[in-house]
Amino acid sequence: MAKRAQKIDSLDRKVSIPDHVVYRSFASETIILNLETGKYHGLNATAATMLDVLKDAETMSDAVALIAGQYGQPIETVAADLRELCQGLVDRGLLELDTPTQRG
Amino acid sequence: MLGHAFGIDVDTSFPIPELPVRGGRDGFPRTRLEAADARRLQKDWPADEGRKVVDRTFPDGSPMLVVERHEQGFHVWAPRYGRHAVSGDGGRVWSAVPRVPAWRWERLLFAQVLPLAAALCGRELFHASAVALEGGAIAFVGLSGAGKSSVAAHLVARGALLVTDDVLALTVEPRADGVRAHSGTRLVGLDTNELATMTTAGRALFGAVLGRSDKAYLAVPVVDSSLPLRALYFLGRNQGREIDISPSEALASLLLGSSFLSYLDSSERLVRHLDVCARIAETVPTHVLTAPAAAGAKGVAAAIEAHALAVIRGGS
Repeated sequence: MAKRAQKIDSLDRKVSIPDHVVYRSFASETIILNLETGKYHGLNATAATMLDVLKDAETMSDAVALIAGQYGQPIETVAADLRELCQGLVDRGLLELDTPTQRG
Repeated sequence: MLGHAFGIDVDTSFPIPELPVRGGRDGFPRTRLEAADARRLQKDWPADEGRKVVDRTFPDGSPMLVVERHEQGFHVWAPRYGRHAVSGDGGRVWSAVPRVPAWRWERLLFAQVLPLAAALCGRELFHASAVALEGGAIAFVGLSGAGKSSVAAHLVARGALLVTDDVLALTVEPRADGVRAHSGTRLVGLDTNELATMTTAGRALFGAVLGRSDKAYLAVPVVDSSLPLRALYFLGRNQGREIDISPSEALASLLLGSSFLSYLDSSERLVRHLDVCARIAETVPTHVLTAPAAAGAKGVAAAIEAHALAVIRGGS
C-alpha cells in the first residue's frame, strides 16, 4: 500500500532527505533521483538552494530565516515558497518530515 | 583471442572479426565469451523462468529481439542473429551464433550483448557515436535516425579516427576530473547514400562493404584506447537554412534521456548514470546542433569539426 503523504502543518519541524533519494547538481538545475520509483525530478536553482539549506537546518523555520536574510526577501514570502516546495517534495516521497521538535 | 570494446576486455573462444584486438593498455574488467549450443542455452535459460525486458516484434508479430532477465543474468536472442546469455556480473557470456557471414551475427553481439556485459561491469552507456579529434573524444547524441553514424562516418572520411558507432561507454575516473570515452567495435552500419557523397580518399578509409541489409556494413579502424571526452553534441533538425550550434539548455534531461539499455534499472545503475551525467555537465562542453535537412550529414560533420576544434583549442 502506498505511504500516505504527510501534511506540513508547521514549519517548526525538521525535514530530511530519505536514504532512497539522491541528488546531483547540474549547471542550471538540480536533479533528484527517487530510487524507489526510478524517477528523476528537476529542481530550479532557487528550489535547489532551499533544499541545500533545508538539509542542514534544524527546522524549516530556521531555513526560512537563513534564506530570507541571505537573499533580502520578506520572511512571509520565503516561508510560503519553502512550504510549497517542501510539501511538493514530501508528496513525491523525496523529503521526509521528522517528528515535531520541542523548542524552548 | 583477447579483444576489447566498450571499456571491457573480451577473452573469446572463437574469432570475432570486427572486435578490436587488445593492445598494450592497462587492463579493463575482463569478460570471458564462450561458444555455446543454441538448444543448450534455451534449455538452461528457459523463457518461462525469465522476465522479458525487451520484446521487439516485426509487423507480422514475429520476434525481432528479445531480452529476458533471469535470476542468473540475461538471455538475449534474435532469430537469424544469434542467442546469448550474459551472467549477472557481466563476466561471462555464452554465445550461439548462426552459420551466416560474421557481420550479421556481430550486429546483435555488438549492439546488445557486449554493451550489456559492459554495463554490468560498471560502464555507463549512452546512445551515441563518437570520433577522436586531437587526442580527445567528440560524441554525438541523438534519437535513432538523427544521423549519429553518418556524421561520425563523414568525420572519419575527413581524417578523424572512429571511437564508437551508436553505443558509447563512459566512465568517471575517480582520480581525474573528467569522463573517459571507451572505444567500440569496427563494425559500422551506413546509409549507402552517405558513402556516395564521400571523396574517393575518404571512402577508401572504410574498406570493402562486408554486407548489406537496411544499411551497408563496413569495417572501420577504431582508436585503441579510451580517451577523455572533450565535447558532446545533441543532434536535431531545424526548419531554417543554416546549421545552428548553441550551448545546450535542459542539459540534465537531454543527458538522462540518452541512456542506453534503460531496462538496467538497479539503484546502482541509476545512481551511476546520474553521476556520469552530472560529471559531463560539469566538465564537458555540450551543445545542441540543429541543421536543416539540406545540410546533410557531410555538412553537419564539417560544422562539428570546426566547432569542436575551436572548443578543444580554446579550452572551454
